[in-house]
Amino acid sequence: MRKRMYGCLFCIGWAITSCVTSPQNEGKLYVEDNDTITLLFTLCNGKGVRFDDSYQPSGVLPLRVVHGRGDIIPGFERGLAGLGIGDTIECFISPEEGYGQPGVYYRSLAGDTVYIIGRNDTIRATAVIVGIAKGSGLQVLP
Amino acid sequence: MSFVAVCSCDNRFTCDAGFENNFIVEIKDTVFNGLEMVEIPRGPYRSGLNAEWDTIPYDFMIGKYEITNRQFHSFVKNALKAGMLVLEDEQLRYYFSGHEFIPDDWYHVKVWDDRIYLENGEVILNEAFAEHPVISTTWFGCLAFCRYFGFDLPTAAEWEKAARGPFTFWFPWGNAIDGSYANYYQSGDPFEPGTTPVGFYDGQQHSGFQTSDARSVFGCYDMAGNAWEWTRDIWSAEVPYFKGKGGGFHYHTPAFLQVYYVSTFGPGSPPVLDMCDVPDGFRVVYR
Repeated sequence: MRKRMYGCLFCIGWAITSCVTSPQNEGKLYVEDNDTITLLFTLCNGKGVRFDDSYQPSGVLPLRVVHGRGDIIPGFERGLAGLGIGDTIECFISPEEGYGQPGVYYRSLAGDTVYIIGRNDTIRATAVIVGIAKGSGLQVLP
Repeated sequence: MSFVAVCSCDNRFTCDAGFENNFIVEIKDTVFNGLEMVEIPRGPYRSGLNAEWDTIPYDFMIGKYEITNRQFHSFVKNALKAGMLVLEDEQLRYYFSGHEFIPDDWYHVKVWDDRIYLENGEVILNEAFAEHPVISTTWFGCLAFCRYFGFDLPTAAEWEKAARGPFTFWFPWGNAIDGSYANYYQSGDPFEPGTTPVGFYDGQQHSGFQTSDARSVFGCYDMAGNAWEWTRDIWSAEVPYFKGKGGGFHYHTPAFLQVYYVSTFGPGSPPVLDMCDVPDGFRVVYR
């Protein structure tokens, strides 16, 4: 069984993005650049508040991405490399590989500034790979 | 599956990206009630992540562009005079009633921003953003606009059909995406980190920025990125929140701009019914 700890250091601010993988599947398909993958995911801000996910009121809606194209934030994308179908991952993504230093906010009806993603937030991302397509055909979880 | 579909799009959209995408779609522009629209014929279209066939059994027209700040500002001024909207404690409100699951009440219309704002009791339009899509609007505010001019909000199905018709595309123009096609998080347009003018991604060069032609197969612009677009659909009677389509400029990356994707709740937990996030806007439909 494959086990993997993934981490990287960046020159600016010594920010760290780290991911822990829990392999569930010893199949022959692993995520590589230009693969089409589908995943179920959650994204949480620095306070642990979920701000995006695949779990909708009518059921799950997988997210489809081309790996290596920049379809998702860089830290999340790099964490998915090498995973197989059914593998799960938990990543802590630095602002440099996530949503940057300024954060993301909106103005409430009361006129307050409400941060969806705080300044310098480390993003917690979780995902499970449910499909990988190389060339033609899509292998998915049974 | 091919990642790059080579298509042409003049007054019709043709594509040769495999047998499953061998269709010709006529683009029919029109003007209705003063708004530029495109005509969508009844019939089959591709729906959802797996692009399964579905059908809409009636013709309809949908906005060629997202509604702009100029258009929404004009609506607010006129609807206030007509008494359709009220300004109370510096907040715009609209009385909504008659829905099966949504309580009758006065709901917020819009969060003031740097594009449309209140100054000395007057609703002011910032001309610098006049042709950008209106954003920070609630579902109720968008519906009020539609009703004032005799339109409606599109259902998610109508929206999706207008975006890709019979094709299996990921995006309204094909499967490729980069910053020349759409306005998304850090897409590199000249207006970063904000909205772009409606119809900006038309294949022309604007202020030195080369865009790709990102019209949908039926000729609509900005159906991926720029403003998220409210639809008429709610999740369920138990979860009476409205669905958004098309992705947005604010913090969403290309994956979230795909035609099949549907937004979840937006900010706040649990959200209020008249919530809105920064990029929330809309386009209209007439059926």
